[in-house]
Amino acid sequence: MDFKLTEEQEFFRKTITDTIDKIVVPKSQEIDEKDEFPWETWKEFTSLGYLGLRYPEEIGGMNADKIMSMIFYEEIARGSVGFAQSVIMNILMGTYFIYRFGNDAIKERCLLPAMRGEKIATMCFTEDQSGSDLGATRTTAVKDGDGWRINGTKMWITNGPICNFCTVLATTDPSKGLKGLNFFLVEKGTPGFSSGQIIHKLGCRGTVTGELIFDDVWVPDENFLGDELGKGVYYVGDILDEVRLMTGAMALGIAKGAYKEALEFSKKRIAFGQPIGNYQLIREKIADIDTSMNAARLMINYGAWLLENGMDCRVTAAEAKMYATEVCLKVVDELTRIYGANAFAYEYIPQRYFRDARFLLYGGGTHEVLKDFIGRMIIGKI
Amino acid sequence: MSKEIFVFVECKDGSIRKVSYELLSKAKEISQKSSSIVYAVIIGSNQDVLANQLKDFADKVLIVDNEKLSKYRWDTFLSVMEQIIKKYKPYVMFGPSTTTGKDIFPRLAARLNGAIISDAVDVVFDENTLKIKKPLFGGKIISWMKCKDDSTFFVTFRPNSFIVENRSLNGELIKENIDVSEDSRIVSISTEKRETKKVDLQEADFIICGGRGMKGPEHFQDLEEIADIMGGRVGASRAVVDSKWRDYDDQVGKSGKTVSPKLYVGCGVSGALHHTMGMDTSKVIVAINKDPNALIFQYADYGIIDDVFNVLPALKEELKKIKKEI
Amino acid sequence: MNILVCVKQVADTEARILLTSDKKSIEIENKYNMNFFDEFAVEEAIRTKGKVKDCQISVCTYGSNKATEVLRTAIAMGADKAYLLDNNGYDIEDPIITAKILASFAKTEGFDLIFCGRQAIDDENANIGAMMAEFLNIPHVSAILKFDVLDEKKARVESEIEGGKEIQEVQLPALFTTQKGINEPRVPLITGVMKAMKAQINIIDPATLKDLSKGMIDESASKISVLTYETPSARPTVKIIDGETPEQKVKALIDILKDEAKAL
Repeated sequence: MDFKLTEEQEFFRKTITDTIDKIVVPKSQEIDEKDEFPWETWKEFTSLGYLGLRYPEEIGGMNADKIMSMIFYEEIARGSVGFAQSVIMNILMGTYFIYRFGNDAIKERCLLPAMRGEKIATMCFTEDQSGSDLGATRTTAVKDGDGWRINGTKMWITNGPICNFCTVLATTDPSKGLKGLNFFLVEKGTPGFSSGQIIHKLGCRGTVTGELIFDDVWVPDENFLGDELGKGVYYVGDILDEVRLMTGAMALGIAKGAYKEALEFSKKRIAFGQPIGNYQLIREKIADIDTSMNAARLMINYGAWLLENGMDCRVTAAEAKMYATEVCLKVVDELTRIYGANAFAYEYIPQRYFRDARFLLYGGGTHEVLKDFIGRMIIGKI
Repeated sequence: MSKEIFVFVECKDGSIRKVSYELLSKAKEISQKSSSIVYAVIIGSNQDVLANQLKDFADKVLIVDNEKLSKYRWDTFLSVMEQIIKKYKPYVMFGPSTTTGKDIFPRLAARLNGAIISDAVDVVFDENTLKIKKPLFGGKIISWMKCKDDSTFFVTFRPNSFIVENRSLNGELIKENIDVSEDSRIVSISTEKRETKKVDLQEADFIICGGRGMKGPEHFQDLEEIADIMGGRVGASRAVVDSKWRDYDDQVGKSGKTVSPKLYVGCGVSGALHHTMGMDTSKVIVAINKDPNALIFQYADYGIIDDVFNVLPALKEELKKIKKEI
Repeated sequence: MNILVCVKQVADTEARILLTSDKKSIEIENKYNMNFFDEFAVEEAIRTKGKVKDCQISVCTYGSNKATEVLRTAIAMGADKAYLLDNNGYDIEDPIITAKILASFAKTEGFDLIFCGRQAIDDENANIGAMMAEFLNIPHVSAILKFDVLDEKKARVESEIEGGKEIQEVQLPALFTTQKGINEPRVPLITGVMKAMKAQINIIDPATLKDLSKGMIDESASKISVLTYETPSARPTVKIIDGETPEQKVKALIDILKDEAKAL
């Protein structure tokens, strides 16, 4: 059992850490405060080519393995969670189905520019009444001539209001429930496609999240992203594990940033004549944080290894996401305790980690749903 | 073997740099313990007046005077120093760890295959040998080192490491006639001197350093006035230089200059590691910052927790009063 | 044109450094980077390559196996070939030995232009560049702020000198040490990172280089020895000066500086 990263992966880790430190970290406070999409940072960062992380070299990508991908997700979340969400949307969810099912013209128009950061991608699942319960999707796609007519409203879409194209989940046959779900590509400028309300979020600020409205939007047949009808949910399964592990990796990144702050503060803050790091209860917190982060990291690494080697990791991915997120929430909570009252001020970093971490409860499945899933998978096997 | 100490005298703008007197003073102190003598080595053109100023500080003053040496170049100066060392075979040569010192001493050591310890801050004579103190990793670790002394070895020291002591030695002036050779592969096209009467940052006894808390280049005027009152120099943190409020020439820190003044005052300086590494050997450190958690208070001797803009006017007035008294 | 860049891997400024109990050696936390000033050297080499036809950049370092990381970083930025001059785990104190090894390597390959960082941030020595140039018998210019190749044979440089700047024209081959301000080191593109990950690092045993023998470069040849290491004596905790008004605080401070600290 080799727990070490290869020399290549280690070099990648060092390089991405330095890159995030140079380009994203100095802007992270500003991104959070302004709560506007950071176009300059986007241009600077995406010009380096990292949006092609997961795609093959032949089309300008990096062909990164899953371990490297997790390293990337962790580091960029450490830099700025809001920015990370937008970036990762272009890297994974917003472009995957286009890569998988789009024809050459679509790839040329959407995928390649998205990899260069010239176009912004997104994926639309969530609606007002359906989050985890995909079967309750109300957005419909009805066959209309040599195309489809889409009607509905999507909510909580990362990059939604600023996207150039999106992959939308719609039902072609409500009676079939999950088996009626399919993916369609909708591009900006298509009549009837517009963005609606923007959500002002507690955290992950800087990324624009909001409502997308499909009002009699007609798209040609080639925009149907799939081999056959009814397999939408099945295709989601392709990336669901990675999305869950990715969320866990982001949790690790936030926790790592928070942990570093907690450690530094424990060493420098003097109370009653000595650094508070000398006191047992602070040491206990550090011990707990370190232990749980190590455990979370091992789970994420294991999940990534399973995924990379084509093995079933549905349970591990769900467990890892859940565990890493819970650890992260605990770490940011402890940070605000160690930091004292200053954690309550916008001027200092801890409050940002505290707010940002909260959103991880939702991406990739709420923990209540995940636990039910995990239990079902395990007990179901008996 | 006699343990003669040679000291390279650096000149700037027609006068002898303070660091040269510091090195001569220390060299004399060492030589008294090692029962040897100190030579000051001054190389240049029309140096008579300056050479005379060295008499109090050295047992012997070696003067090499040549038109070709009117301006510093490593090739010409090196050819001279090489010949002097080959002739006199001193035990050790001290030099300043300045821009000039860093340019010539490594090459000199390489040419003569002698050991060199650079950027040192202290030296003692103990167990019949010179033990040299050198900070590493920005001062996180101090090392004591020694050189093999089977041939002349070299040590360069940071400015402001030693006190100047005039022992009125009434040294002997010796003129050396030495051939100067120039490397024809290097042609000097032009020189631009900085139009400034500013005290050198590394030689200043008083540095008032501004950080991000100064909120803008215009507020550095207050610091300049205080520096003038004290006969010192204004410094800047890396953040300030990166924001182009001040020149790189003012930068104190790891990627700027390492300073060691008698009194350092940080105004609105957070005290990030790369900065403190560049000034934490200052004799007395004062920090003024409105953030009680600012890292700089961990390195300071005294601190005022208040907005710099509240404190600076009062500081200027009080220092003016003090200077009048002195 | 053949360019060589010499780089050094140094401890991160935030790495913890601990003394061993016998105070004769130090342990460095496993956080390393390319020396800050060397980044400018790599960047300047790449910019020069962009202006000159038919140009190759080699990057080399004298260090242990983990130093290959900085070689890869240089390749990610745009260098072509990488060489590790293996120190076999020995950290030798004597810069002359390091310079001899680097010079011997440079001689073997034949370079028109050599860039080094002005100084290393761990020891602030600024020795290697000038020493290398001496061993190679080529001219050097320290602390360059601007660099231009005039033709294959000459370069024009602006460098930092005491109290100002100087412009010189130097015949190649020559060696230059880079000062901060000469350029803005680039952040590697993903294509560079991929190239660096796969790059072949040439590993060389210095003892096999021409003009060198083991006896010339191992510990016994070192003319410098470390007697002991110390941690600097810590300053006592800061004294915060109190007062009801800023004026009072300043007055109290000045009194203390005058009487107690004797700094005025």
